[in-house]
Amino acid sequence: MIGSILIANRGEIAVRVVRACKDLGIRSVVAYSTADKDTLAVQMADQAVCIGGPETKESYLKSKNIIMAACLTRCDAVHPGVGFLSENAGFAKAVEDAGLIFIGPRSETIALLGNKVAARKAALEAGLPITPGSKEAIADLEDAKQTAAQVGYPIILKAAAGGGGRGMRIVRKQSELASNLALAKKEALLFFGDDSVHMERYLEQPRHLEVQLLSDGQGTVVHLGERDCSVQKNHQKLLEESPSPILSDSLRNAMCNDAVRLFQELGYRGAGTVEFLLDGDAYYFMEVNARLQVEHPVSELVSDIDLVHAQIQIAQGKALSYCQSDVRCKGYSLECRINGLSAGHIKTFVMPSGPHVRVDTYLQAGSVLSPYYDSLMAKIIVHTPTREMGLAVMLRALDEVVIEGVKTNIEEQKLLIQSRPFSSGRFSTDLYAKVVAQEKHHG
Amino acid sequence: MNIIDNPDLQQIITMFENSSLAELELSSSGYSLKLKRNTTSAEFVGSVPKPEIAKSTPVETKPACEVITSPIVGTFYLTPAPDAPPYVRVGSTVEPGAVLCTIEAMKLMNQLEADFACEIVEILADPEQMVEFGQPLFKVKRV
Repeated sequence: MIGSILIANRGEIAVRVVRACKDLGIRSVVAYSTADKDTLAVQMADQAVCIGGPETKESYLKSKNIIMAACLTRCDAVHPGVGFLSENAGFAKAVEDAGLIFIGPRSETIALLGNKVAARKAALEAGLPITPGSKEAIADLEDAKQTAAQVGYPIILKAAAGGGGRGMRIVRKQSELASNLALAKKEALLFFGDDSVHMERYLEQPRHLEVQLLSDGQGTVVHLGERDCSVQKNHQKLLEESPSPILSDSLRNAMCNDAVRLFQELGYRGAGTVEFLLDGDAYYFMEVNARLQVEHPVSELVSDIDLVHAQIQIAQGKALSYCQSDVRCKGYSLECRINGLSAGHIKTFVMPSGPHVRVDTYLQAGSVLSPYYDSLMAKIIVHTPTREMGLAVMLRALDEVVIEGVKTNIEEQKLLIQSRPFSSGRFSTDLYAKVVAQEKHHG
Repeated sequence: MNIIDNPDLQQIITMFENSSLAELELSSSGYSLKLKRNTTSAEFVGSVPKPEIAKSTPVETKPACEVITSPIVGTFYLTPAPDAPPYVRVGSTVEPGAVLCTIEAMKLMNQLEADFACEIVEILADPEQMVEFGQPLFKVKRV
């Protein structure tokens, strides 16, 4: 049984996990940096331990201090949240070696899925469609030329150990291949300490879809439907919705079943997401996020399943008490990320409320938006019977927001939601560039 | 009467400050005043000399105490072994590099050393208890 959880994260996700602990009668201990001393998670938790200075490598990435804090405050388990050490196999293993439960997948699973080449191989073996490309890491320029000729230009080179949009290079013709391969290898080594890269066909206007899964590691895997995360700025998601406005039932079923099969083959334990790219009527496996995701509330609202509760239950070794036919996704949900465009002291902070609206945030009037961390300030999530109503409720909710002291992306988000492509549902990952850049040009 | 609150006096002081006079003595029915330049500060080129009358609080001469904090999260020990004498006690004076305590983390004994020669004024953390990053451990006085 898990009686106490150390939360090795900050911001709105730390608050989210503290709330789950309280709901389950579990003692919560928040590990925090000196810059986060006065934040909501620290105030709400039963106990808090300062683990280091403001720089993430001195605190939220400092495994030793985190594990010591968990041991010394007599915690049974560690919840890594999202980002930071949540997909670090070494950290997961160190937590387990210290006699603690890691609330997430087994460290071997994280290690396997963290390597893009290995993950593609696993997906292929489970029968998932993958984008045409190399099956192994690119050996040399000759190998790259041959593979590119088979795959067809444009191609994208990706760092095998990469993620988060880093270490990727798009190549449109063979004459650009040699220089880009050299750069991609250099970047991969620089960012991820491993210079192996692989090649895939580059899809010009894809949709970014992902399937939310829960797997108890004892044979039961369920999906909670998909999230459409196609609205992005520099590979960072801005709006996430479920169900996707353009996915047909047959494609949805095929994609969700594929994701479930992959998790069964992997013997996956915990909550996780399989990401796909949709190009016309074809979808391709992209990667697995072996953790909770920022946009998880969207799936929680449509499925009425609390993902953090489920993570904790699975980590305790409990089997899922429901199967796929018990999961009923209902209505429509949209999440809007409120990001700060400048750091600073927040004078006024009013969040929306009322019917159909959920807000996940860690800020309040008087808080400081720290320059050290991610700019995410709040997530506003709506749940309505239809998409049309969801968009109207979201615009109403955004109108209720009052933030003074720092600049935010709220006006950009309103533009996107009101734009014709978004409301029609027909758009791709370049929507932000089209809508916001155009508005800036005209306005 | 508060001298500084009196507008006439303030004016006189300002005039003195802006003048090249070294000394000024004034007396009237209400008060008598003697202004004299601080001769040491007057030697600095470009600095505005302050009249002595502006000095109100005496300068603190006692050396201030400093606090040594924990660089990691761990268990705080004052002794190298359970039955060994402590590294330091209140009143001990240590040289730079001397071990002050150990902080156990991940089964490793991390010895915390003094960066400068100092006297231990107070031990601020409880032995054998958890200390967090930045937690005050010792109050010390430089020697």
